[in-house]
This record gives sequence, C-alpha cells and structure tokens, in this order.
Amino acid sequence: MKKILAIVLALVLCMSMMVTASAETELKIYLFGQAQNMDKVLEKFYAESGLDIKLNIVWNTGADHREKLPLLIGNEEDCDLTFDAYWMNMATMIKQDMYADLSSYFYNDEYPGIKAAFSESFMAQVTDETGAIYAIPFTQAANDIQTIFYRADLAEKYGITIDSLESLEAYFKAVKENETDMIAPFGIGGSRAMYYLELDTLEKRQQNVFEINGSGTAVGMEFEVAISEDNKTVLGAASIGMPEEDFANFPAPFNTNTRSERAINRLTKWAQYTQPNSVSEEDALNNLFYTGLVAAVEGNISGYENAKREIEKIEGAKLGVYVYLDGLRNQEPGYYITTGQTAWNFLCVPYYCKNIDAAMKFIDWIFQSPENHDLFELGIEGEDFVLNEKGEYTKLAPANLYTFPGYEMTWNPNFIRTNAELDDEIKSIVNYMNNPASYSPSVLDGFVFDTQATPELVNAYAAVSAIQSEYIRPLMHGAYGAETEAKLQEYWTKAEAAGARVIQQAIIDQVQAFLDAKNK
Amino acid sequence: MSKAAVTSAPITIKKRGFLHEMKQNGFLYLLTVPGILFFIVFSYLPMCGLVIAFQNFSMRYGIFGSKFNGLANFQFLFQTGDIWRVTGNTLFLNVLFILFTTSMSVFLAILFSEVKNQNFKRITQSLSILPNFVSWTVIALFLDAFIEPSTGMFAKMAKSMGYTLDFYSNPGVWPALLVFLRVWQASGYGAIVYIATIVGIDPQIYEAADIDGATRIQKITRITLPILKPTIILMSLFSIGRIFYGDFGMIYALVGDNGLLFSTTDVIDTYVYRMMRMLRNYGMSAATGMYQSVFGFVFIVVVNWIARKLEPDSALF
Repeated sequence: MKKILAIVLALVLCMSMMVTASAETELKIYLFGQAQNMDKVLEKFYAESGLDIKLNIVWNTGADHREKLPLLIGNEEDCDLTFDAYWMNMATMIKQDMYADLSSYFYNDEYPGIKAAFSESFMAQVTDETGAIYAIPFTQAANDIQTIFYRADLAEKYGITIDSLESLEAYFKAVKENETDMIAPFGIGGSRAMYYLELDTLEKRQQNVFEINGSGTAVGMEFEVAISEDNKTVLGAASIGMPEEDFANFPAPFNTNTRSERAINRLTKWAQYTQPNSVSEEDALNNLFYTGLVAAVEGNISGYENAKREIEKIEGAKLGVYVYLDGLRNQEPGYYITTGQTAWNFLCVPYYCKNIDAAMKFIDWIFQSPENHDLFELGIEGEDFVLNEKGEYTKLAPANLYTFPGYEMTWNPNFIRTNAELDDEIKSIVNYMNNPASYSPSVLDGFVFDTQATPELVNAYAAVSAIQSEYIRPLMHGAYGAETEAKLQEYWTKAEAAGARVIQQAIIDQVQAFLDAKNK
Repeated sequence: MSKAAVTSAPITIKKRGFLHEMKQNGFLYLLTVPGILFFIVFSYLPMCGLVIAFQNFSMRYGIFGSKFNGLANFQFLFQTGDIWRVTGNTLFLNVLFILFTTSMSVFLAILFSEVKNQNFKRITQSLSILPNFVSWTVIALFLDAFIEPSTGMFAKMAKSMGYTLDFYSNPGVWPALLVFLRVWQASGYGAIVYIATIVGIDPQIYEAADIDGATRIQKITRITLPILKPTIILMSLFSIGRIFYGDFGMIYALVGDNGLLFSTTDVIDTYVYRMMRMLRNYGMSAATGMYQSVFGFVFIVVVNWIARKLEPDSALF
C-alpha cells in the first residue's frame, strides 16, 4: 500500500514539474468595449508568435472600467496590462505611483517592434522630466476630426447639401417639420453635448489661446489660458462665466468671454433641434442615431466605418459626414495645432506586475511586422479582410468576422491601413487626419495641469468641479434656454466663492513656470 | 407582624460571578454571538477606515502609508456651500418619505384589517407588497415610459392636447414625484408591521366598544390608532435613524447625472458618488461619509431624547 502511495505521489510530483516547466505566462489584460470572434485570432497568435504567452482579456463597459480599475489595482489583483487615458484615471494613477515605469523597454534593441513603432518624438508626450514612461500611447493621428454624422438619404430627400452651418440648420428644420417619427433632428448626449459645434478652439490656438484642465485634455474645466506671441509670458487665464475683464489681456477678437457668449447665444439656438431631456442621454450615437430616432449626431471621423455599418442597417439609410470646423473641412496644412498630447488612449502596467517582460514582449510582437499588426487590428487575412496592391484593406463578411477596438492596443502612426471601400471624400479627410503635416506643435506640448500642486488648489479644484457637475452639462446642451445667462451668473458666483480664482492663479503660475523652463 | 419586624428583615442579594451567569444563561449569550459578530465585522471594523478622511490617501501606499493632512479633506465640503443644500435635500426628502409612507402604511393596515372578505384582502395585500420587490432601476424605466418628454405616455397625451410636459427639466415637481414613487413602492410592505399589531389587539376591546355603541370610525380613532401609536413611533425612530442617508439606489436610478434636477434631488449619497467618480479622491469622499455618519448619530440621539420625553416606552434606548 505504501509503495503504491509513494508511486502515485512521485507521479503527481513529476507531472506538476512538467506542467511548471512548460507553463506559459498568462497575461491578464483589462480593456473596455468589445471584440468579436477573437478566439481564432488568438489561436493564430499562439501558433505563430513563438512566445509562451496566453492572453486573458477582460472586457468592461467604459463606465465600469473607469470605476473598477483603480480599486482593482489598489487591491493588487492580477493585471498585466490595462487601458487607461487622461480622460479616465491616468493622471491620478500616475501621480499616485500606481503604474510601472516602462522606459527601459523603449528604444531598446531587444524590443525591435516597440523601437520601430514608438519613436522618441512620439513618446515625448508620455515621458516625464525624469525620463520615466508610464503609458504606451495608441493613436494613428495626432488628433481626431470632429464631424456631424447625418442621414444623407434624408438630406437628398429634402434637396439639401450640407456644406455650412446654415445648410445644416436648414436640414434640421426640414427634418423637424417633416420627420414626425423622429424625436428630434439632432441627437446629443453625455458630457460631449455639442462639443466643438460653434466653438472657435482651433482659431484660438492659432493665437496662442489654449484650453486647460486637470487631465491634460480639453474637456471639463472650461478654463483657457492666453500666451504672448513670443511664447514667453502668460497673458491671462479665464473660464466660462467669468467677467469680461478677465479676458481683457487675451488677443483680439478673443478678449471677451467667448465661452459664455457661445453658451448663451449659440448653443441655445441649436438646442431647439436637439431632443428633449438630452441632459439625461449618455450615448446619442447608439441609442438615438443608429435606432433612427434622430437625423444627426456628433461624431469623430475615426468612427465613420462603424457608423456607416450601423446606419445602413436602417432600410434606405445612408451616412453623410459634415466636418464643421472650417480649417479642417478645407484641409489646411498645419491647421490642427496639437495641445500637449497626441494620443487619447493608452495601455499601462500596474506597479506590482510580475509579468512586465512578457507584457512588453507581446506589445513588441504586435509591432514587429505589418502582418502581426494586421492580425490584431483587422483579423486573419483572406478570411476577415484582403489587401489591394496599394496596401488598402477591404473587410470581408464571414459569419465569424473579427472586430477589435484598435485604439486600445494596435493604433500607431507607422501602421496605418486605409479602408479601400471609403469614398474619395472620406478617404481624403482620413488621409488629412493621418498626415503629420496637418498638425503644428503648440507651445504647450507636454504641459499637464497639476491639480494637486497645493492643498488650496486640491480643495478649490474639488469644490469647483462639484459645482460644474451641476451646471456645465446643461450649459453645453443649451438646456437652460432663456435662463442661460442667469444660470451662468449663478454658476460663476458659486464657483468664485468655491475657489475658481485659486485655480485661475494656479494655471497662470504653472503655465508660466512651464514656459520659463522651456525657454531657459 | 409588627412594623418594626417588617423593616428590620434584611433582604440580601447574593452576588453571583460571571461564570455562574454563563452557566445559567450561556446558551442565551451564545445566541447573541452571530449578531455581535455581524455588527463588529460590518459596522465597527469598517469605522477604522474613517482614518482616510484625515489623509491624503493613496491606493498605492494604503492606510498605513498615506500621509495625514488634518482636516483638509473636510474643507472642500464647506467651500462649495453644496453640503448645506444636499443635507437639506436629504433631510427634506426623508422627512417627506417617512411622513407619507408611514401614514399610507398605517392607512393600508387599517383598511386591510377592516376588510372582511378574506380572498379580496389576500389579493389586495399581496398586490400592495409587490412593488417593494421591484428594483429602482426597473421603476426608473417604467417612469421613463410615462414621463419621458419625447416618447413618454403622459408627454404624448399632453402633446396631443397642445401642451408640453417635461418633468426632466423641472426640478420643482421632483420631490412630489419621488414621494409618490416611494409611497407606491414601500407603503404596502411597511403595512405588514402595523397589520401584525392590529391582529394582536384583544378583540374584547372592540366587542366592549360595540356594546357601548361605537361606530367603525370611532373604533379606529379611539382604539386602533392609540394602540398603534407606540409601533408608529418605534418604526419612525428606526427610519429617522437613517434620515441622513439618502436613498442612493432610488435617486441615482431616477435622476442620474441630470444637473437640471440637482437643486431638489441631490442628496448626500449621490453627491459623494459623483465626487468620487469625478475626482477619485478617497479622502474627500470618506470625509463626506464621516460628516454624514456623525450628523446622523447626533440626530438620532436628539430624536430619541425627544421621544423618551414624549413617550418613554417608545424610545429606542
């Protein structure tokens, strides 16, 4: 009996050693959204990569991902790569040392794929003053192009060519009067609201007036800073609701509160074409446009292919695109001035990750060749897509078509493939967007406003954010109507009492310090 | 027996030790252990976490590694002035909820006890309890189907008559709407306790009243309601104990991030959630939670003191 037991134990020991010896590294990756039919791509990756790596991708919804990940990483749960962004938690997470420094993996001959795809100039956006890199950026272009997606079939029906804000309004009027099954001509939602519609952001950037907020992006705080022509001095900082004198030092014609003016006069005008209760809507594209309840929505050109696929599911529906910012519509070279960041989406590695080498080997493999990259971005060649002689792809339509949100893991300026099926107008916009010559660097490249610089600023930022959470969304939706001016006044009275002036001064001080360091 | 003999007889109470007490009532004490453990684990131990209200808390360095920052986390609460509004909303809405739900629960309990047809009574009582088991998310969808300004039933009816109905941009109607929904959802379930009390009333009291010629209304007002009074006070005290806690599940499901309605619907819990989501500042969120707990505690002590003055048997402690 003892002998049998000993043999069994020895066998178990041997088997467990064999298993350990051949154990592959399982990478747990947290992303948001959804991929479809990924198993076949993973099988091909396992067969061809020669890496002892298995992928375990966990998909969250966007809101869940934003809320879960800080807690998950705080608890040091299994996680080797996670999506993050300035518009999610990245600034705070980096500030709190939650992510590992990945700088040793870049410009490193042992990682040729990463070396080829991520140049020093591209990585400058995420390299801090100590040389540390906490995030891997994914983007094809330095910025996206904001558009209005509209129902081209309805525009044809009413004989309207949308090529200006006036014709856009005529289209909305026609839809409002005739399409009684629709709840509104123009669907808006979430904090995006009407976004850049009637916003002169790019014109302002031409004159050194930039948006500032705590995440390094242009969404939320509604503060702007003006910098002198010689790029050396801060002229002033001001926000929506502030009195005109705060804008006095801004270059003309931006030396008045243009943000307040837009909220009072312009957004309220467009609001007559938006759906009632737009403030409660979180996803106008999916909930209203794709379901045929509205005739137009805000969108980005990067979402064109998906929008086209979805809208054509409605019988007779066709997708139209109107780029409403003049300089972009006219594709002026160098018109798009970047503001301190060139990617919106990133992957990060938690500080406690034991598999950083394997995680970076995996990223490296994706960028080692266009074929590897295509596998994760487009699927299996010949089954999910085909390439033409120009290297443009055409998606096939197998029952198990592979789809993947490339902006979370594969987008890179050196690995761009254009959809051969795009019509010439869209192709031209996409090419303009992907062309580095379309962009000009800004004096604020690399600047991220530190909301935690002083205890006073921490409190003021929190307090003003709390007030903004009540007012800004309705303002951006034009939902206050005739009360907008009064509400702006009410907002500013509260914001000033809560410490908006502390934020204003902190912006001036931090931007000036940044400029001084840059001009040294 | 003489008076002196009575007064001089000594009454001695023999002191018995802890072990004797355990021997005598050990099993009873044992029964309290799960309850005590529950409160230690879920109510007392988490209080240690309140320390982060006084820290510049970092997930990386945890409670023991994060630096203390005094009362800085509390400062932002009072800097905005919002805290008074959300506290006011929390108290106002909860007072309305307690008042109307309790009244309706008592009313329903009396109605059910007066109905003699058992089948009718059983069915109506079950129907009144049913909404308690419907989640607020589902109720929010129902509500949307009624009042959504584009597709809602009421909005369409109003539109057909030439009116516009938009509840979602009109904060004034929301306290009434929330009270209506709360009463619909909770009063049937709340009536169970009062029905049980009514069932326990000695029938002889009602028979005596019948002999004295009392009407049905008189029996309700002179017998049922006075006997229900301690139960009503006790149940109200339980509710008041949580008066500083806004019903997050209810209000967030119904209102969401609609800033147009915050002036009347934003309660402490929704405010904390929004701040947490927006700022990711655990210290500030803990500070708000602590403010809520401390004021809630003070409030219940004061209300209990008042209750003890008015009706000593109904006080909680």
